[in-house]
Amino acid sequence: MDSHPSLMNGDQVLDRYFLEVRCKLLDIAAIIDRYERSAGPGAWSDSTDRRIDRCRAALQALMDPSEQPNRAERIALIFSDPVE
Amino acid sequence: MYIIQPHYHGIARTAQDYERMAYAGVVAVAEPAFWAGFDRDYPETFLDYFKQISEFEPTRAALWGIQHYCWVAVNPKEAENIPLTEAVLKEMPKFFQAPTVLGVGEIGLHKSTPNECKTFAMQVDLALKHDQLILIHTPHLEDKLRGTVKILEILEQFDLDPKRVWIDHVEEHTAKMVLDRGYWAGMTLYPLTKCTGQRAADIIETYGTERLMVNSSADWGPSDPFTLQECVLECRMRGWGEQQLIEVFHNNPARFLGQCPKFKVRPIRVERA
Repeated sequence: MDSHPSLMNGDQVLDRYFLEVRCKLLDIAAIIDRYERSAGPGAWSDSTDRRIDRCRAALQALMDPSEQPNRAERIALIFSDPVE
Repeated sequence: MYIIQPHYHGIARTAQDYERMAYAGVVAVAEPAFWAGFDRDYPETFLDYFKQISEFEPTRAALWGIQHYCWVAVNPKEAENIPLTEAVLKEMPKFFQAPTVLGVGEIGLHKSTPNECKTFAMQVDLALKHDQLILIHTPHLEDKLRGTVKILEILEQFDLDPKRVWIDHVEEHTAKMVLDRGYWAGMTLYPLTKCTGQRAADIIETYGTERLMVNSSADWGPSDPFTLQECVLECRMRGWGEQQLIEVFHNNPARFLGQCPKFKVRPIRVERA
């Protein structure tokens, strides 16, 4: 059995997922705008709500360079309760 | 394409689900015992439920040529009531004799309370005493990491063969710890809030196909059994070969579930004429 199915090359990944990434980023931007229209300009950045704090950390993780392509894992950990 | 849907709550679904799953290549489903959406008050309610999933549900699936198997357990979402759990567990071995019951599941943790942990350990012990396969639910969302770590700690207390244990609902942050300990791992796909077919394909590409299964749960909440076929298509579009698809979506469940001799679907190999 092949343990690791072959991956697409980088161009193929972009061709297949670029519009989806664009759509999801716009969705996130629109949700943040929606929040600030209700809570006030700058509310997203200033909020101390734990959920927003986690969202900001996750967005930061998207942009952080990494030796491993493990952004999904790092973001899943950001949204996890601490382990005793 | 031949597909085994290893985690499917058929009693919450319509007959059309079975019909369309059959159209879409599903040859067998396995139905773990699930939470009813409310906490049941009587042991007999569980026993009637076990009867429904072990006797009646196979007849519904059979109308479209789908083999239906099931698991029995007190689901972690209602495992807080210890006396009720004990009363159900006392009767559960009778169902181990049924021709379509594969083992004890889905057990596990939801909020990881002391009572949940106790109930989980009791059910692992019962399964081992009766040589049953074990299917474990891990919590969703922010509880998943903590619950998965706790489940692994509790399992360490037992002398068991990890290859007879399937830990379900793994995601990017829990798959490795499960696989590294020799257990089978399942990824459960949902249209909203949880793992997607694309992410499941990524996890398989990261960790390999060995001891990994994909399912779509499909229960009474927002869910869709055809997220499984979406994942098959995603993998196919990424260039996976036909045999690789068969390994993940048919042969791996056949290998795990086939450790119970009642499960009749065997791994297959695709040959070109």
